[in-house]
Amino acid sequence: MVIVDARGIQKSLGRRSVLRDIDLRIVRGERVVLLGDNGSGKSTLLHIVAAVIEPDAGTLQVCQSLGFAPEKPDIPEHLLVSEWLDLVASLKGLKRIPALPFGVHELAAQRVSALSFGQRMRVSLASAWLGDPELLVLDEPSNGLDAASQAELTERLRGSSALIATHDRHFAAAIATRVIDSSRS
Amino acid sequence: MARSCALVTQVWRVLARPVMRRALALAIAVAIPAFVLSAGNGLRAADVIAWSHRSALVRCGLWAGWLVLSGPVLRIAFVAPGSVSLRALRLPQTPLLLSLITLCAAVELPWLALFARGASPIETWSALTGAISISALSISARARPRGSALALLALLTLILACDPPALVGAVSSTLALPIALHAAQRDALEQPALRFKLTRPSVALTALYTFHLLRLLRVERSRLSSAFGAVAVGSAGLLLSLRNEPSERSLPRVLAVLALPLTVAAAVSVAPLLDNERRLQALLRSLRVRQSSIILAFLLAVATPSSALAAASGVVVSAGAPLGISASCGALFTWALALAGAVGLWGRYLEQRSQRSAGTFVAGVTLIALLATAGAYGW
Repeated sequence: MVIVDARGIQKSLGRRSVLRDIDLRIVRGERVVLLGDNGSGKSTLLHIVAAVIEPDAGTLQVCQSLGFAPEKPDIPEHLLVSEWLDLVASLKGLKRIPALPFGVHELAAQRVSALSFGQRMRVSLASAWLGDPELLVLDEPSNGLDAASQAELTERLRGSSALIATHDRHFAAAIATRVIDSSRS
Repeated sequence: MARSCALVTQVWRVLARPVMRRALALAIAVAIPAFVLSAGNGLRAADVIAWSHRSALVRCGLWAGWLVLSGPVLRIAFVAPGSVSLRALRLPQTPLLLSLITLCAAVELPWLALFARGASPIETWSALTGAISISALSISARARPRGSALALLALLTLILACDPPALVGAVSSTLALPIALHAAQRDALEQPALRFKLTRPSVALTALYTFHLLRLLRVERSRLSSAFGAVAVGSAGLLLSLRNEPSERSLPRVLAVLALPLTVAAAVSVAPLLDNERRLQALLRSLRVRQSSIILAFLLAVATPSSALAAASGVVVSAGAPLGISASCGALFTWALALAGAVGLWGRYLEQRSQRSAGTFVAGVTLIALLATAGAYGW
């Protein structure tokens, strides 16, 4: 079953053309990893698939149930972690919070402002996983994670459908069913 | 000496912008209604201060009112972006304290103006240093309940319960000032843990509305203070005006006079709530949350502080006008909702345009207030 079907996607940021005639098709169970240099348009493509920004041209069909974790977890600092998870669960239409991955239940009573970058990344990934979405769209998900969390991420991804952007070739090799490499070297 | 002056300037350069923006908003929120409404009632600064010396209740009310308004603004001087780096630089204490005193004095300008117009210079100095010391100690007291909270209690007892002679008050407040500022600088960044979470999974509209309210309550207290100040001063002036010049058509007068304070009370929430929504934009779009829920949650959150203040103001105003409590509360509540809706929609409209600015927003808000005032008078 196809969960992402993108054809002829184009996107320019200012005068710079970032994506030109991109076709991408992901079926359920596939984990597509985008490797590439800085500025090669990986994050832009992820943002388009997650409906965060719109393409200038092209057609895109994506499944309804989607979990997105941006490269920089922008979680409002005035909330407790549990309040943030309640908000995401509400927006996803969940009635209750299921068991949380990445040891986030230990952080639930903390203020977001008191978390380190790695902890925020764990919370952001747990938010993406809430409700077990059909497709995960993850931008540099292994950034800032400790070894245990990285191992859990790798393990959890093996049972999911995902579109992932990363610089980490070892991580890509461990999880990908397909790698799209746009590196110059 | 030259190095100290340079250090004071540098500290100002880092901290002044965020502090002065809120201080200006507070000064405008308090001063305009105070000037417009109290001038017409012949209420002079000297009368207010003399009244506060005669009655402990008035004295406590006056000081508590001002401390509630100015405290959150003054706190910004200790937690503004860049203050962490300033602490790490381990600056000499004297120029640092001088910078903080001048910054805090800028926040206290309306308070200073009240005493400068109605009291002796020594009493003015006592009021200024006392207000800064109490606010600074209350910042520290949250982190150190034993040391700072006891000092705060002692100072409050001296000023409010004993009402000491001006010289005694000035000396004790001046001695407390550097200690209080040092304590606030040391403790302001320590945030006490929150014990209870205030949410649970619900529908998108409720979740977004709660998310906005939490931002206002936890981060934007200085803006809420300004809203409270504007409506409180407006209501007090209106009450005096209604007692001095009773009128049969009091409802249009009430709505007209409170149009400006209620518009200001709604306008102060617009920018932080739009920022709140902007930060959620990626999540909202990726989850395809309905636009109607997003807009309604925003408008309800903008309207909540001003409509709550309007209802409270209705209770106060009903004491001076031939209106029942339910009639005045209901009318003012509805009026506040309508004004907040107009201000919120104006803010959203500007947000979607590429060439938005604070000046354009303020101009639109002023126009809304003027039209509302004219409409109510013409009713």
